[in-house]
Amino acid sequence: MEARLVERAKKDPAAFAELYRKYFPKIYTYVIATVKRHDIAEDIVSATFEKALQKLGGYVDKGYSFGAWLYKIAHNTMVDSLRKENRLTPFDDNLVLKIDTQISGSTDEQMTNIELWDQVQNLTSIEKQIVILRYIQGYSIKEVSFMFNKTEDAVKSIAKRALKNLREKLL
Amino acid sequence: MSRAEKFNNNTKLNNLDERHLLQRLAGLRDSKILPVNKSFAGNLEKSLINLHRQQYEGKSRRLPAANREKQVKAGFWDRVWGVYKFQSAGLLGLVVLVVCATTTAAAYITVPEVRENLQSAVQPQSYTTLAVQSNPSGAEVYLNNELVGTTPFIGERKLGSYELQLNILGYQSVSKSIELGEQRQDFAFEMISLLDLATSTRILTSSDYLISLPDNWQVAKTSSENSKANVQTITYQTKTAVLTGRVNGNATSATGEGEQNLTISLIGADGFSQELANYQLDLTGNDTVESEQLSALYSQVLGSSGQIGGGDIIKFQWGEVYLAEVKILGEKITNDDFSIVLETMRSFNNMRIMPASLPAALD
Repeated sequence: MEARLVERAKKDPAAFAELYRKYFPKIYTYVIATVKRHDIAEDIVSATFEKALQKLGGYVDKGYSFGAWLYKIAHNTMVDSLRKENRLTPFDDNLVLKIDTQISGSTDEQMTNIELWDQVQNLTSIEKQIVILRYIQGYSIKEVSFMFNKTEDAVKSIAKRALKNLREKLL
Repeated sequence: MSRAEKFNNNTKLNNLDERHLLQRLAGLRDSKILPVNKSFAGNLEKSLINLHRQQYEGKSRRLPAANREKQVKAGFWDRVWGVYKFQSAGLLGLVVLVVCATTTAAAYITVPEVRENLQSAVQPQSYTTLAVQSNPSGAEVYLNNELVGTTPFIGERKLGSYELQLNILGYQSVSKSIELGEQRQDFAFEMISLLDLATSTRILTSSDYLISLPDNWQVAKTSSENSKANVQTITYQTKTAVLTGRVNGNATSATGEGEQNLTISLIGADGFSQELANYQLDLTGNDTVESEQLSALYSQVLGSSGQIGGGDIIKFQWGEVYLAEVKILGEKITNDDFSIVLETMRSFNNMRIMPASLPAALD
């Protein structure tokens, strides 16, 4: 169903807007969790969707979902941006990134989600990204390896280590 | 029950197995972090739609007008159907459908006007690059009193007016009003060392600054070993200073008599200390030692409080010079009781380092 929407989005702004509204919160959450600066995140997310729009005409389903394709653009844009910053821009480590849990679960579940999210944020950058994409967003190992341009074995290894570290933080 | 306790009680995360953890992670799928700038998502969407339309119009310019209208129309109905599916079924979805359809229909009917509006809605550049360097580097950078990083600093900030301040220990703080426009702004500051200032300038003072010590100002005791520094916190107005008298006894101090080494020091922030006096005393049990010392204590900025022994809090203001004349009476030294009574203190708080050309009243 999404494939049809993507095809329409190549010509139809309204269809593209629909894709945008679906993916904007996910992409923004992914980026801000890594860069921890709202101003930088806004730039990266803007650039991500502009690139996606420019490349959309050439997008062909090669076995990866549109979401995986979009996350790959976001990841590459983020890497380029941070490289450009040359790490001179300090991340705001004190920035508390609170998730919006209004849409899911009971109060207790929301509380658990908040605690769990706090611990996910404490993982290393690459571990955090892979946990978000693999386990929270549910992309396959194959898709995540495509996003990061890494081998599937490498992604599995990082994912395993990330889970282990996350469990230790939660115990 | 605290949040942490509820968390522990209501979940099994304390005994996590992998499957449970994966389930919990999947439960975060709909959680999100939203931009602080609430209009950001909407503005970006408008910009993208505008960009999309420009691309689309560029490609379709060669098409007959009728075909172009048909494509736009198809897009409208597809969108309506898509919006309906996007919402969950039920009355709410229906209401949203009607609202969206109405909104979209209005946009459809007035495409040329909307395009114009969208073009004007594309936000002008709202952020610019701010770069701040200092020598030495490592200065804390504040924008409108908010710590944003340390030098060398490069960041993106919204256009507008800011109060830029740089602080680094041992150097005079710098403040500057800046205006961030669309062009990148670069600032470089040569920080001036307080110690350099102190040696090259003189201190201007006035008798107006003389104060009297409150009667109950200070009574300090050493430990029974007579070897540990006694730390006393004294407060004047909003400022807190630490005055320390150190007594280093030897074996004879067990009786409280004989030779004693008495050192009086002022302790400042960030490890600064100044020895005021050092006495070799030969005491008989009830001797009184009088000491009158003049001391200039250079304070350092402390964003937060420091701590010295005994839980005493020290806090000084940036760039200020504290000048104190201290008269100290040592009384009744015994094996387990040594007291220092501060009789008077003249404190020149809020003294600024002034240029050497100005008259100085204090020698």
